[in-house]
Amino acid sequence: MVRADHGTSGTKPAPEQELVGQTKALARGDYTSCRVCHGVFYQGNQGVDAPALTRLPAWYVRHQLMGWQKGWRGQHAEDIPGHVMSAIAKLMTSDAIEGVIQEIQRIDRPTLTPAKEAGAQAQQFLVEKGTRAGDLDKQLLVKKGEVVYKERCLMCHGPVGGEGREAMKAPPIGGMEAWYFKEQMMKFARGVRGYHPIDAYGQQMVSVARTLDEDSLNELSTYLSHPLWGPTLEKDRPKKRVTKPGNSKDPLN
Amino acid sequence: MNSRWSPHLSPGTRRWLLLRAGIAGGSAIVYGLASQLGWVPEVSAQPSSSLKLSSPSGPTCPRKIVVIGAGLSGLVVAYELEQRGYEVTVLEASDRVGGRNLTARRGSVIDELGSPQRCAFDDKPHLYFNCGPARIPGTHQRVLQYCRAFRIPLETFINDNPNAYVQSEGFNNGEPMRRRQYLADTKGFLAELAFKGLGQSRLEEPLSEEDHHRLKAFVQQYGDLDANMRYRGTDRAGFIRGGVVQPGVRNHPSAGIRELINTPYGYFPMHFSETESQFPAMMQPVGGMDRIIDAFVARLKRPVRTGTVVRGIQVAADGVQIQMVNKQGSAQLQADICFSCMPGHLVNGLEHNFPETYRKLLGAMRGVKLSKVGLQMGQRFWENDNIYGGISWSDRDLLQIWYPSQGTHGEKGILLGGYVFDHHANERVANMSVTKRIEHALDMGEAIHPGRYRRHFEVGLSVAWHRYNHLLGCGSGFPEDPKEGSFGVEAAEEKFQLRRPILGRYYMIGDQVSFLHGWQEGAIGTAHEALSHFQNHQVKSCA
Ligand SMILES: Cc1cc2nc3c(=O)[nH]c(=O)nc-3n(C[C@H](O)[C@H](O)[C@H](O)COP(=O)(O)OP(=O)(O)OC[C@H]3O[C@@H](n4cnc5c(N)ncnc54)[C@H](O)[C@@H]3O)c2cc1C
Repeated sequence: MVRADHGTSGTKPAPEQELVGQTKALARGDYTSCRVCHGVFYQGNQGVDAPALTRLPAWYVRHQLMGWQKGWRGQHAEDIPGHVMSAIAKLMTSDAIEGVIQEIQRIDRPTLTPAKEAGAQAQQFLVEKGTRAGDLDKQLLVKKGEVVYKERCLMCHGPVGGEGREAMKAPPIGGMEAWYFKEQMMKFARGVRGYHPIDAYGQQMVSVARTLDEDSLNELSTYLSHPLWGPTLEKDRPKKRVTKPGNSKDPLN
Repeated sequence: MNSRWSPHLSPGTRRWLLLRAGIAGGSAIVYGLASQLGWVPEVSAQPSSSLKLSSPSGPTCPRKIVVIGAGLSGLVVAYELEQRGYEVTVLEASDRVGGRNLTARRGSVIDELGSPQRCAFDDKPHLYFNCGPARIPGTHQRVLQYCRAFRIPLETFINDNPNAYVQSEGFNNGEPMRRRQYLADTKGFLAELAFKGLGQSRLEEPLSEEDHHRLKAFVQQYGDLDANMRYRGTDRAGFIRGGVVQPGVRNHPSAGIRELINTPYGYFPMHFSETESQFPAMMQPVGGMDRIIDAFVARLKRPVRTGTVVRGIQVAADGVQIQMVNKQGSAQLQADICFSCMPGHLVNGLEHNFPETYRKLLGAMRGVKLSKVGLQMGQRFWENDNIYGGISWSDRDLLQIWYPSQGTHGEKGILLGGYVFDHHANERVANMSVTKRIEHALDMGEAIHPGRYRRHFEVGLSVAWHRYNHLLGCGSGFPEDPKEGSFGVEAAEEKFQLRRPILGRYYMIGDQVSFLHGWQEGAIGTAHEALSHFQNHQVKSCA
């Protein structure tokens, strides 16, 4: 609530720092408002431009939230989803940040059997089937993507299916949704991400993104979003460590 | 010129929320096709009085109903079913009932993500702000029927007031012009042009001498032209002074039509109140739009379970399983039938087992961007300026000022200080702090009411609906390009497919799947349609 300096209403303004709605929830460790966008199991929702968070290690989430708070991420005029994220990140206390990180690491996503429409009814939904040719195309893309990955990404991000490289602030990108991957690469290429001089890692990504053509991006996104790295295998992978903040020499922290 | 007013972005090429005339042709064809395929319930939505819905009589009848979302459409379903003896549980994620139907008054919480606020208006019955729905057109009989049945007091809502202003940069030296002058001048100059064209039209269309004579008289009246068929100003534009005990002195007419087409006002706002749902006369509930929500809540036997977030929906041939979480923890609920008005673009963020095509259709939906600013003014200065209700228009992002239809001559008043329609303007406005949004609103108001607007401002608030917790949009649309617009195409086929219940057990409702997006009437229409379908397919045959 905002008040004119010369207000004449004679009423008391609401306290500036009063916790209402989402801030009140955050303060009691309820991170529902994060899940409204990122999905109830942090599985992501393209419909609101929100990526899955389940595949991200704690140090990466912490680091990026700091970026949104400090303004080296999400403040570019063209970064519309980034604007929302910055506004929310700025309301998060360090307790809330640690709390949500814990929750992301803990969350268990149930598996459901798809609803099968029986008989004639089922035909009313357009049935989409992968063609053989389509499958082969995809396999080829995955192969090519793997080559590009090894050449251009591996050094910083580490092997696909791993945990990324904290020292380089490079998250694991195996399993990343294709739409999100492409969106971020476009942002880097256009300087919508990695725009701030203090964000050295982001700037590195800008130069990488600018050298990747559309074909390579397509191959990479197909390779990275391949179900092999996807959330289905999540539980078979080694459990992520929850690292504590503050042990980093990173100037951004 | 600001792009959103340019002729290229006329309503035909760009679908404006709340502004379109119904585009019947295409959807009528799709409707025919869709009903043949059985996608659409074959009953059309009916007003509640004629809603045919029977009680669950036999032992195999569905009885347990879950409604997801306490938006208006969800409440309508809950009310109608409870009245007939069904066991209805309404699950609502927010701590507040009503969804987009939100009236802010002293103490109200505005749970916009990133900008939570508590309303600090003075505590007076007329000092409220309808953050979401504010107008009820006379044609919205579904809404009005419930108002009548529940005896919700209504009063006139003034949507169209020619005494309000038009103001834009580079037009009329940036000075505000009364809308009545703009309207009178455009009609005058267009009538002049039409008269010049009359000679030509005689060659093309056989007009008798008498026809020609009548047409000339008609054109003369239309523009209030003089005997020489020239426009030289008119009383219609109002007087600068006089007109009671002294002779009235007319406003000077604008320089010509070229001046008038130099403001975006003429391209769309001029015709705003002639669009399908914006026609006068309109109504509003006395005391705030949420009186409608209150009336439903008061009539529900089982209270809405607020603060309860649905997390999972599993539809099976014999029922629907709902997973939910609230302060007490997580729980499961088994229902025979589920109705959901939660926004389509949020549904894929749940865990559900919907068929892949259905998931894809939901995946095409995006939250519609729409924002408002509300301002408490210490004095009703606009009344001294002959303005009672209605809308002034600007070419800025914040677009409009609404003068309240309630509290006339009372103490203080709440203005709508901004109502942002344009997609990108909504992105810009949402990215501002509430303080900054209000600053912009005050700048706009100061250009229209110089010297008084800022002076009388006391407190304000703002809602960007595309950031509102648990909604992230004014409903859901099907944009062609989500980066360029959120409302997008009419999407008749998509809406019909989504309205077809999954396994006959899960119904999607809300104005989002109607052809009246952004209106409560659309929400109620889909609720009634779903209930009729439920009656015909589940209730009629059960024993
Ligand atoms: C700015 C604005 C102006 C408008 N102007 C008008 C007007 O002048 N006249 C008019 O008639 N209409 C107007 N409308 C439209 C009107 O608000 C809607 O048509 C009406 O409120 C009906 O909404 P609904 O039934 O679709 O539900 P909504 O109001 O959209 O409610 C959906 C509900 O689902 C809940 N929900 C979401 N996720 C979950 C979950 N996981 N679990 C449980 N619950 C969940 C939400 O919290 C919310 O309460 C306007 C809307 C806006 C935003």
